[in-house]
Amino acid sequence: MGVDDSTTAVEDGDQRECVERNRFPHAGELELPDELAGWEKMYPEFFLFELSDDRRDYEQDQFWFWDKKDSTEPIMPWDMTISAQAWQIAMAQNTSRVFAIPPSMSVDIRVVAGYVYFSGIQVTDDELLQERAEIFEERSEYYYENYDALYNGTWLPAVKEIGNEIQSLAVPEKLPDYVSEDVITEAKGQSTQTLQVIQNYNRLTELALEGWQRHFEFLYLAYLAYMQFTETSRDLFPDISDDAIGKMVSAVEADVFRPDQELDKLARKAVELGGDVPAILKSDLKPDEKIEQLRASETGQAFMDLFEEAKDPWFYMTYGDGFHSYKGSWIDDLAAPFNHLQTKVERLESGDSLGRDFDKLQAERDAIVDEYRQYLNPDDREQFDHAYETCMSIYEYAENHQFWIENWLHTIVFRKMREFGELVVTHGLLEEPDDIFLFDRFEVAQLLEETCETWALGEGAFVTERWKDRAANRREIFEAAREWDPSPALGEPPETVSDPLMQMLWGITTEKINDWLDVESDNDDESRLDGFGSSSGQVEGRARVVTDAKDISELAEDEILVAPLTDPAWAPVFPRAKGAITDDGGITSHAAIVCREYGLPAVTGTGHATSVIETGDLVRLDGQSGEVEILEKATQS
Amino acid sequence: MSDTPYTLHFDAEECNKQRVQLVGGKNASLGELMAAGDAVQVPPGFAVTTAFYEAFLDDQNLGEYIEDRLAEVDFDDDTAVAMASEEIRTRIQDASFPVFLDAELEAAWGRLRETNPSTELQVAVRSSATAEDLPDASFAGQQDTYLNVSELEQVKQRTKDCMASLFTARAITYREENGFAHDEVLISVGIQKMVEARSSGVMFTLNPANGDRSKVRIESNWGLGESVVSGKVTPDSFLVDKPVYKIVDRNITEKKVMTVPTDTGIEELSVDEERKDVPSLTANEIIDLTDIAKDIEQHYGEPQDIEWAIAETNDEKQIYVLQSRPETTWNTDNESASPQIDSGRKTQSTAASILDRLY
Repeated sequence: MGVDDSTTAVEDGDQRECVERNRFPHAGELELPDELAGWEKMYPEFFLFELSDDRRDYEQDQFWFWDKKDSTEPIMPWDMTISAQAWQIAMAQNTSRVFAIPPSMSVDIRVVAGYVYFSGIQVTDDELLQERAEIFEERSEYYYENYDALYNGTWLPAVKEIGNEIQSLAVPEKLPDYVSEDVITEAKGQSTQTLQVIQNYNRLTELALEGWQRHFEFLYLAYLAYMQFTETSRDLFPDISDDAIGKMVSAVEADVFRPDQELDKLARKAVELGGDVPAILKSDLKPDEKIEQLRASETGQAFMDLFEEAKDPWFYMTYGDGFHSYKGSWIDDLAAPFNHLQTKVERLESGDSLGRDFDKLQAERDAIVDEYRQYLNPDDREQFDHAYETCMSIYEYAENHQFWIENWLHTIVFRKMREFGELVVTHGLLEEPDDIFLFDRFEVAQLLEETCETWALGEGAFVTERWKDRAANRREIFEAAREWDPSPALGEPPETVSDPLMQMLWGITTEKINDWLDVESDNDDESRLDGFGSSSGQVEGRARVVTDAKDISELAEDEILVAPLTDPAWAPVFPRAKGAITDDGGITSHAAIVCREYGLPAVTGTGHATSVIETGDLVRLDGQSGEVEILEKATQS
Repeated sequence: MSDTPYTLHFDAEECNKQRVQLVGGKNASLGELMAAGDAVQVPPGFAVTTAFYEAFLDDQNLGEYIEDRLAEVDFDDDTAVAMASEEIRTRIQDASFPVFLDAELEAAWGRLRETNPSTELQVAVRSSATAEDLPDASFAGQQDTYLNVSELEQVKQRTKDCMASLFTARAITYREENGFAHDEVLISVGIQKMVEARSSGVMFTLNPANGDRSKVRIESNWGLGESVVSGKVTPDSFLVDKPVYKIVDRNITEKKVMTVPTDTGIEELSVDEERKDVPSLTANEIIDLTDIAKDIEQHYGEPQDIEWAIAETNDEKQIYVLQSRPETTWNTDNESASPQIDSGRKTQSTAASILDRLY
């Protein structure tokens, strides 16, 4: 989408002259491809733009940006249950009504063809700011002082309990021809199983929402602690780079890196066990075939025992960013872990490193922190130490939660949903179990109810084709939405971006917005890109553009990975990469953190690297300055 | 004779700040710098020690002569002091080194020549007084420096010239007024290779603009360092974050003039048009200088103000440290070393500190 032709006059305070400034289109001005017609019916009403005149006026006063940090792809209707829908309550209330972060009231959410747009709502009223400051100070300090106990004692057990309860929810493969005997003998009533289907589905959605409330519990506090450390560092060491600050908070022992570490352990074990294990792992067999062959020998069986042990929870890694049911999870599709094992065994056998050397990273980090501390006088050192210790104790949360919610819990939720999908398919209302994700949370409740109604009507009852037709139609719309390139933002951009969370997490800065406006309107210089210097190092190499997590194995040795985002599930291939360039993500985004943790030079948040750079282009990136240069195009156009 | 050496190369372990009485302050500080780390190299050279001076005076009976000559002087009579000074200095300058000292000096010279046999050796000969720390060090000899000395005979002569500077009229008067015995104040001389600098400058092991000790500020120009030290040019300047070696600020100036050596001293030249706007340091050199700055600061345990030069001939490149002094502007023990922060504030709670920064 291009920038709207309309411009608005912005008065320049000093020169008193009118400067033409572009704005982004309003939602109603977007011209969507015809294939997307009908997308509005796929998402809950709340998320639609311009529902009514008064709401449109409010929306047009707000600045909306596409939340590419969480996902660069459209989100399926049911998947919104554990993204936009969960966020709208859990994320918004966390800042508005739980911790009362003074200037950041909340985030309002809209959806266009499955793409999620955010708009920050800020607090400007002094009295309200003061009121919120008092609440914030008391509540957040309690969390900062008790983080360990709250996280390990309450949070993690609670999240595990949510996941375990979801796993235990019974979903019948098929509703019985006749209800079981005990309905009669124990006078249970008439349709416990259909009631259970409805109850368990409702419970699933309740638990999913509860999990997402947990997701945000410490999240902003963790980022604020990080911000506080960042700002303290900037005060004490003027001109310090983001990258240097990033180094001081790197080498965090977080659960999100465990899947890769478990694969490292398995690869080492495979080499140690020997026999035919390494050869099988290096073969081009399919995962099932590898498992079968491994189970055939004693050493192979020994390996498989360890493999099975690691699977739960560490292979509950979603492909992609975690928000898409259709991308699946390692546990359901073992291609990724076996591909990674293949690479890792090969690397071990040729004497290469397996990547993230935690001890080395930690030693480097500690040396840097010690050196900065040494330059401070005792008072300042105390201030620095306090900020650093708080940051380091809670910052792991920024990574840990991502494993437990976006990967582990989502895998469980999607798996359970598929069981419901299979039930619906069995009863003839849908063609494919995964079609259930084409309906939103409330529609699925209707669909399951109709499944029960159809069942209740008895053998040979009429089965509607409505849901199948609707699913087919929605599948087409959704595929068209994936092809569509939405506007990075909507509406009038603020002259300056002041919201600290907005800058840190989404990398939305004044420069970024201007850059979007420039690029949207003028595509002259495409040989340079600017982003965040997120992980230091200057490298030059051939680009490999990877837009789908499934294609990550195409990345060859010494190539520079160019992707919408990088996420921890990709970490196993990082040792092959020379550097990384992403479209999105600020300095504290997962994309930036994971690159720092693996010592991979990276520029994040370039905005449009995946569309400007092509596989095979010779590119240079500077992970300190955030500059990317295309030195040579693979194809002369 | 004792084991006290007559000459001592700067890279010798004994050439350090504990041996000021032997090698004088200047030579001791050069030797001390060499101990700061392997990367810290001063231009090669050696000290002609106070033991050498004493042996020289002793052998030529100069001590006795000086004592007798000064005994006759009325120290209230400036003319009489000046005459005595003149005569004593001439006597020292004209005396010959005894054979064993000559041999010693020749051997040290020979060793210095070996450090770079391919090029002609040019040295600076300068006095290195043993009482530099006192408020008026002039009583212990003037800070004489003779540049572009290349022949051994000339080296010997300049060494004697430096030794003679212990007996300037001013030094004699000062010692007399302050009760120092003339025969107890000794002098050492430094013989040091002159660096043909491609680029030179100064660096501070903190940011002089705000006292931030995590930075190194490097200032640099083409040629010798005088143009930078004297403030005749606005040099290139670089601000480096020490722990991560990141150049966080750089300012490449138009460098119109540079200092170059001549036969008699130094002079200012215009910088070639094509080099005016070119950075006088490469990124790697900046990193190397930062390492050196860190080593030196670490060694002395306080911020330093360092003069350096880079010699580059053909494929060989060497960074030399010429001098290091405590940085005095920000370097006080009682004040905050990072004064941009209000001192005296208490460490806040995390929540309060976040609130301060949020809006």
